[in-house]
Amino acid sequence: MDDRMIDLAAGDARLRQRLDAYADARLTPDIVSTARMRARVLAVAHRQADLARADAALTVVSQTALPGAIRTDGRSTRTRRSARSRIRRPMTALLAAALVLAAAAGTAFAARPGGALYEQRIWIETLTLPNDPSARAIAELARLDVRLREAEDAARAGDSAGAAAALAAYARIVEAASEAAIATQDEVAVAILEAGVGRNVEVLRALALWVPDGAADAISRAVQRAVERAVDRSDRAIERIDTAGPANGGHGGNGSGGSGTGGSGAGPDTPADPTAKPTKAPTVAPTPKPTKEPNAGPTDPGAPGGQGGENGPGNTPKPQPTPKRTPRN
Amino acid sequence: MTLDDAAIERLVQEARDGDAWAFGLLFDHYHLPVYRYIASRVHRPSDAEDLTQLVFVKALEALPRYQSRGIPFGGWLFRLARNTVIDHVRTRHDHIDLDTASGQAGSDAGPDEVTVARLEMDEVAVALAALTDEQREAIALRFFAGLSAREAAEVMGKQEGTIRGLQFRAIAALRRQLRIDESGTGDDHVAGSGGRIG
Repeated sequence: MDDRMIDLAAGDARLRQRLDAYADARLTPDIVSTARMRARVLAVAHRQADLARADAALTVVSQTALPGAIRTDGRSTRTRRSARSRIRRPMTALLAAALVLAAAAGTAFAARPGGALYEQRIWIETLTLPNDPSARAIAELARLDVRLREAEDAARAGDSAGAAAALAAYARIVEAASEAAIATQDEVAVAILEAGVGRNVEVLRALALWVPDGAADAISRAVQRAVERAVDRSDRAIERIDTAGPANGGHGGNGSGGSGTGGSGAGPDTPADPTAKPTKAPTVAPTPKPTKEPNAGPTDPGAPGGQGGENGPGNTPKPQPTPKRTPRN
Repeated sequence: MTLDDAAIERLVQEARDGDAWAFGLLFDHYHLPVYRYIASRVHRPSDAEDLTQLVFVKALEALPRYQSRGIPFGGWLFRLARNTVIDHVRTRHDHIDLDTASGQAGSDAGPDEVTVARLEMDEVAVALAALTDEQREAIALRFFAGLSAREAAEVMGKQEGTIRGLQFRAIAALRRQLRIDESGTGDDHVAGSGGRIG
């Protein structure tokens, strides 16, 4: 892209200045939009790369498997299928489908907030999180949104245990996600989380105000305690991000807001080859995934229990001020 | 991030071989000009974001078929962007007129935000909206996206001279609309100032 400057006459410097200002103010995506676009595009790129690799592997497998499919006596296995097995197969499939459906229905019921399988469901979600820090931050925000919806639905239905369980899960996800974002030193991921969690704090506060009107006193108290705890965790996460964020400035950021997948480890002032690849294995692991299936209760002694939503004595969180800043440029 | 043509070609090759990291670098290099071009054509930031993303996804899918036969990757990408915008405008009937441009630009302004700078932005938006489609596109490609006249000509499927003509007339119209005279002294008092024309 040489000759990229418009050959404006000298007298048009003013016009150029105004067009520049306009482009900066109205035609430039903020860091969160950039991160969102980048994460989605890279998610497609990774998926495409994975599919290509899988296709290649499948081609190799099918080529090696093909000779074995033909029997040595010249009759394929397909021609030997009896009429009886042709009837039996759809019946088996139907039975299997019915069983799967029944199991899924039961599982879905048990996996509701406060249900026996809820914690397992939360844990399974962590297995599907992407590795790219900014994509991961977006996925974590999506999980947080789901928790909020679950809490709201449960509170609306008068299910205080469910709401408390959803909010406890929310608090744990906020903590883990912010720790991971700080650890990966990805400023885009940090910005995404900060903006998303900041927005959620407002939703949580609205939830706390809304619950007492429609619910019984005990339910209100339990849900409010859980809301306060979630707000407290969110605020603490934002504080941690704020304090850790500036120290990480420049890592992995390249040009106009891209996260620079993984970060190369070179300082921001290092004039390196811009296309030089980062080392494949990151030195800091992303979000620590649970090594085994967690038990139903949360590990934090003060956290509201999966069923009861009780706080430890003397551990009542105070309402915190609204988040300090929302990153926009 | 600045990349020279050789580095871009290398990244394109690696991306074509399934290297998502290389495609990420291409995204970092091109997303701002592409976004600016699209945003100047569709006006809604959410649409601009969606379409920018779509352009890169389309590029990713079409990359195996991309061959650098005299057309640099940037030009190819902008052609994709242009087609995507045209499709979008055609299906959504997304267009903007003068009233919309000025209304949209100032619609979310609170009392504290109504500043001279904001009014100037609105004025530029209105001036751009008053250009013909081709003039506006030439300005978007040349100025907001930073393409050369030759690249802009390739993207728009026109001669380089035609682009320069469009650009010349667009600049003259913008200057008139924004009351900026030849010497470069503009009328800084933007709202209802009744400044000089021409």
